[in-house]
Amino acid sequence: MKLYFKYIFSTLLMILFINGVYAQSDSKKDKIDALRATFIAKKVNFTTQETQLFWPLYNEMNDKLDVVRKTFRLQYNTTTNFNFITDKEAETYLAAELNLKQKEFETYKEYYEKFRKILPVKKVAALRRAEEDFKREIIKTIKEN
Amino acid sequence: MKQFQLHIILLISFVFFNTKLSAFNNNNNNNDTTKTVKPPRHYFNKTIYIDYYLTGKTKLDTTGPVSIKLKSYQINQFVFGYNFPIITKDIYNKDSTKISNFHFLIASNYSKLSLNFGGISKHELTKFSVGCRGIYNNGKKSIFFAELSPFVTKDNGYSYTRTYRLSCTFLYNYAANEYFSFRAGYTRSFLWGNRFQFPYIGIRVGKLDKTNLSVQFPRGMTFNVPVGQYVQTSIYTKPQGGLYTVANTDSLLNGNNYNDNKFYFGRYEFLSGLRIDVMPSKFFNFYLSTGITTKSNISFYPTPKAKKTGNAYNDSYSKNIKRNIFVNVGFVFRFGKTKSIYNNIQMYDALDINNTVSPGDNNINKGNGNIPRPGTKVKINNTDEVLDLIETQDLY
Repeated sequence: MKLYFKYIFSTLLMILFINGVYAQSDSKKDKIDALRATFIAKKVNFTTQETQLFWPLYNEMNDKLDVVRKTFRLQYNTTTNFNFITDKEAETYLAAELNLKQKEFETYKEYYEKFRKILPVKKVAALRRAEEDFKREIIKTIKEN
Repeated sequence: MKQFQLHIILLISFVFFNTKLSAFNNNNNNNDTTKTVKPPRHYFNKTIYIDYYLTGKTKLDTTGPVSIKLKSYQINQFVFGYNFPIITKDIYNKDSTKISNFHFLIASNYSKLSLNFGGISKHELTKFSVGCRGIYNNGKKSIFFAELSPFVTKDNGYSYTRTYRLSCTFLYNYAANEYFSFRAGYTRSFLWGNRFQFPYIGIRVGKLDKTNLSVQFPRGMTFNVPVGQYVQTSIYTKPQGGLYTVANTDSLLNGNNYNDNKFYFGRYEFLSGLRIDVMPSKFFNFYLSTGITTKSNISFYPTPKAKKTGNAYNDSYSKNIKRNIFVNVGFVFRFGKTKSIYNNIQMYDALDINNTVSPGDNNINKGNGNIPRPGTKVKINNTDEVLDLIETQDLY
């Protein structure tokens, strides 16, 4: 019986450790994303049918943007030394930055076109405003802290 | 000892599967500028869970020779299980404005029931199942769920008691809106201590991430009330039980017509209690539950007779057990990155089905820790945390 409990305890510890590593990286982002979803749902008055079609698309758009941004951050992040030694390094950085903006723009464009097919255009505009308002809320939170 | 080795092998294979042997991969080069982040493939996390369940000791009455021999009854049950998404396929309509999806998961578990009758030797009844489940969400209001859960059960130490069984569930879920969903289907289950086939009927009223009432026959009834962001309390009633094969070492079944060295043992407890789920993150939740076993029964079924019946077994001994208390505790761990599902009603329902229909016919509810809670104020101390949200001009 002692062995049995030892085994359970060590299993739990191991799982907690692996789980903790995963959980740490994304918990803040998850909270902010959940907050944004709640904020947008409150600001844009979706019908049930619109809710069912809109949120899967909106989540997919954000997942795609997330991949593009994280890929950029793999190469350029807070630990990067931006005092480039060679011109080539600087050019590579500028190209990567432009590529990021380009992909962001293309993704937004693609999905806003899709949103227009399932939502009245006024609601698409309200969505855009809600996203902007959410940013301001975030900035306010940072200032308060 | 064999079980211990089995658990270790399961655990190590899980870690390898999860890390994709990255520790042995030497191809990682930090200077590789072509490195890209892989998008998440699945909507469901890899999940493992541990559940422990214990009832109090009940004295059996002395009205028959078997009850006199058994004296008292008490059980405890340990369950270790996992489910892994294997295939996820998003399917789009012509103009890509509707996403329906198909999910295929492997669901497996191992359970050990310690059967303690005061008058005879202790029996440890194990059950091991490896099943699969498919979920199809049509992107509008319908979800189809199918699970096949074959399992093998035996009385530990008596290999001749090994018995193969199959439980299965087929469900149709209609999510009318975020406040109401309806389920109908079929389930072949041993939960009620015998081999039964039931229609499955369920309704849910109230949002899954807020206060809701869920009635799912024959799986149970739950009234869920969230308390704050991370805690959920529930009042519930549900059956818990199973059908096992026990070695007839104590000659519990005797007589002219019985000459088998094993018999089937069926048990169920109808649990009514209070449960508290703590969900600090979508990667981890645990629950603690206690209450009363309002209706319990144990039955012994002779195997030769059983072979002649096509459906439910005929018992030779059946005893209703007096009320007692029970305690149930569980830990659920989720791994891996998943696609976002914020406010996605259909996926909330799909996750709920996957969490509440337990593999191996154990009726363990893992809790909906992976359904996002409505967002509340977040403390942000570092602008790096919201770098993707804010442009320089936003600060003017």
